Parts: sequence; C-alpha cells; structure tokens
Amino acid sequence: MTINRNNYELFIIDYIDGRLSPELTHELMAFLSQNLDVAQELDGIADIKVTPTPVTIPFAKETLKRSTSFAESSITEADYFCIAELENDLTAQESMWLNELKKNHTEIASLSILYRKTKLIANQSETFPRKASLKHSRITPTISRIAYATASIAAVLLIGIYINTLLINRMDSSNLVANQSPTNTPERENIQAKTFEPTQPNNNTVQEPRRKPILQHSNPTTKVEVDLVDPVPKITNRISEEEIEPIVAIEPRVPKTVLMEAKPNININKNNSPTAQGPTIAKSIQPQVKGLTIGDIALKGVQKLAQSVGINVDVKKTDGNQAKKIVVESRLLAVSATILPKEE
Amino acid sequence: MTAEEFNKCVDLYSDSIYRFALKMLKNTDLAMDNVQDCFERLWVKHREVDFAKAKSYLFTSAYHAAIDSIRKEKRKFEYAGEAFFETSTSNGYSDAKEIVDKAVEKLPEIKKSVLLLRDYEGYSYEEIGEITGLNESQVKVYIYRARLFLKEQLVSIDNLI
Repeated sequence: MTINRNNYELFIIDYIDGRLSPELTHELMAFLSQNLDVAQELDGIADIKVTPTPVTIPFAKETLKRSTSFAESSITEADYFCIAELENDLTAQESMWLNELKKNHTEIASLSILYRKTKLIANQSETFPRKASLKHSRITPTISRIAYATASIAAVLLIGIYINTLLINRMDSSNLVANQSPTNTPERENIQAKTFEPTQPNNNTVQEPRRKPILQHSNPTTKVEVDLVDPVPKITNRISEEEIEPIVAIEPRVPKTVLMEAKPNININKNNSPTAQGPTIAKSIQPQVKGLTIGDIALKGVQKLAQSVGINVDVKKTDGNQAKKIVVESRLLAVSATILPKEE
Repeated sequence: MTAEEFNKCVDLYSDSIYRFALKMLKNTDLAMDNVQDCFERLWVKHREVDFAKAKSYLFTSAYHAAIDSIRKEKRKFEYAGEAFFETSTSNGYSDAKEIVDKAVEKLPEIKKSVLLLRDYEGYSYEEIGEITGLNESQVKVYIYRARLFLKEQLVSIDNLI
C-alpha cells in the first residue's frame, strides 16, 4: 500500500486540488475507511478556502500606466493632428491634409483654434527679485587665498606687537613713577642718569638699566654710560635686580668706590659687596660699565617684544658688541611642526 | 565656467527659472528658494559645468527641486488635514488665458513641468527628456495629454458660460 499514516497528507492535498489519479483516490478512500481518526480530522477541509477581500485602489489606475502610444490614450485623430500642428510635429503632407480638413469641417477648424489657446505664455513681468544676491564677484584662486591668509596673519602679528609695545611702555613708566620720589621730574632723572652723581644717596644709579623710556627719548647721538647687567636670560636679570637693590642700601661704601674710580665708570669692588648677601651673590653681581648705544637699546627692545610674542631672538655678539648672528625661533612654528616641548 | 559666465547665467536664466518654479510651486517664497538653491548648486559645480550646458543644468535642478518641494509640502499639509495646492473655486474667468492658467494648476506635476518647459522655454522633446529623465516619446505623450486636458477645461468652461 502506497498511502500510510506518514504520507497521507500529500495525497489529501492532491485530492482536494483534484489532481489525484483514480487509482490513488480509491486507495486513499480505503486508507481513510481504515483510519477513522484521520478521516474525522480531514472532514470538511475541502470547504476551507481563502478568498481575496475586494480592495479599491485609492488613486486612478490610469495614472500608473506608461504608454507611448496615442491609440491607448484618449487622443483622437483630430486632436492628435491639431496638437501636432501646434507642436510643429506635422510633416508637409500631413499639414496640407489638415488644412483641407479644416476647410471642409468647421469643427476641426474650431478645434485647432481651441488648441492654440492652450499654448502657455510666460508673464515677462515676473522677474526674480534677488538677482544681485546670486552673483559671485570672482573666483579666488588658491594662491590669492594663501596670500590673503598670510597678509591677515601678518596684520594680526603687527597689531599684537604694537599693543605689546604700548603695554611695555606703560609698565616701564609706571615702574619709574613708583621708584621716583614725588619731587623728581623725568628731566631731573634724565640728568641724573647721565651724570651719575655719586655723592647723592639716591639709589637710582644702580637701577639705571630699567629706565628705557627716558633713554629712548634722549638724543640718539649721545652715548649714555650706564651699568649693564649681562643681557641674557630674563631670570638672571631678575635675580640681579633683586640683588642690586640691597647693594644700594650700603650707602657709605658705594660712593667711596665710585669716587676712587675715575668717572664715569662705576666699578663696585668685590670686597665691598655686602656681607649680608653672601659670597655667591657678590659673585653674580659684578656690574660692568659698558657703552650702551641706541642700537643696543633697540635690540633689547626687540628681544623683549619677540619673547612676549612667542619668538626667541638670540643675538650673539663679538667683543666689539656688534651683532654677529641672529637666531630667530618661533614657538608657533615649533609647536606646529613637532609638538615637542620647546628646547630651552 | 568662469565667474563672469556664471553671472551671465544669472542675468539670462534666473527670471525664467523663477517663473518656472513659481508656476510649479505657486508660492513665491518657495520659488525664490528654489532659484537660490539651483544657482548655489551651479556655483558649487561651476568648474565642471560648461556655460553652454548651464541652462539645462539649472532647469534640471529646478525641476527636481520643485518636484521634491511639492511632495514635501503635500505630505506636510496632508498631515495637517489641509489642501496645500488648492485651486481656486471662483468661476469669474475673464479670458481663455486665465482659464488655461487655472487649468495648468490642476495638471499633475510631470505633465505640468513638461508643458511649461515646452511653452515657456521652447525646449525640444529631447531636451525636456534630458531635464526630466523621461524618454522623448514619453515627453511627447505627456505634452499631448496635457494639451488635451487644457482643451477640455476650455470647452467645459465654454459650455458652462
């Protein structure tokens, strides 16, 4: 027997669909009569059918159709020829034929006139109001852009340097005001700086290097003799300034030394250095008297400005105090190039 | 295309694109935005687009932007339960041109755009096909059907009067 309890479902489906052969149908019936539980299970299965529910499309079906044939659309021959005439799609022969038709049939002529009215005419008074905003002045090439960027950066740097100069001037002048007694005028101070009156107990003699504004205002041709601490790192200068001030406090000795030495140089004897400060400080002081020109002052100014902007300007000098080599190192460039900590 | 040529394009085509966009969108603000976007797109691509092809490029941009805007606005107003592109219910037509203008607004977007490109700009079927992405035959059929629709509107109004 072909049909058993394991495969009867296949035969049942074919039986419902009407595709089962008479022999197998007979065999299936015999099987079902022997297996009543299966026959009971399948009772009425043939009546179960899924039927589609009627659905109406919410839009016109015609709009979905794509046709390039006029026959399928609702355009009649008369319409077609009238539209074709309007669109200049007619051949010479077709055009002649249509003209004949129009003469003989007034409705074709009126149809042609009607179609001519469907020709759209633009309203020329409607113009775009923001035309000017659409225009572009010119295309900036890459080189020009780079040039603009460089110029902008240079301008910003110059402004920064200028502001810095102003600030330094203001700070220096305020320092001077703080150091001076109320009776001292800038003119008098200037004279003091030039003459270095040693007998005067005023301590301005040692602090002279900090008086840049006054010196800058002086005549460029005059040479000013001042004490100059070695012009290198800022920290050293600061230490020396701190150290210098206590020296001034030893009033009786400094003038003596100065008096002993020939004017205008001021040599502070090592032995005369203050005992309270200790020997190391005394060593570091060693003030030297140098001829300071306007060029030197300008150079120091440039160094200070460059430091404040972030550029190190190192000037190596010869014995004659002439610039030999100038090394400029920009912090910005160093950072952008390597991202390593700046080498001191 | 150079900047000078681009500016020439602005002088030559901005008005016609604006009219086209206005007719498609029926909203001056949207039409102006459409024109602005088209020229912005052209400027971005001005090195690649040839001056001779600029008009076609602009109209293609305008067409696609207009279709997008219409769909977007329709969707927006459908949610709000309003009809965005409402046609006038007034029957006070003065002449055939006005009737045709009103009837054009009732045309589906594609038919309307091909008809506008044909009548306003005088483009050939092939050029309209390039702009709209349709083939020549489709463009022709759309134009013919649009004209038939306009004629029927004219006839129905005539009958009404």
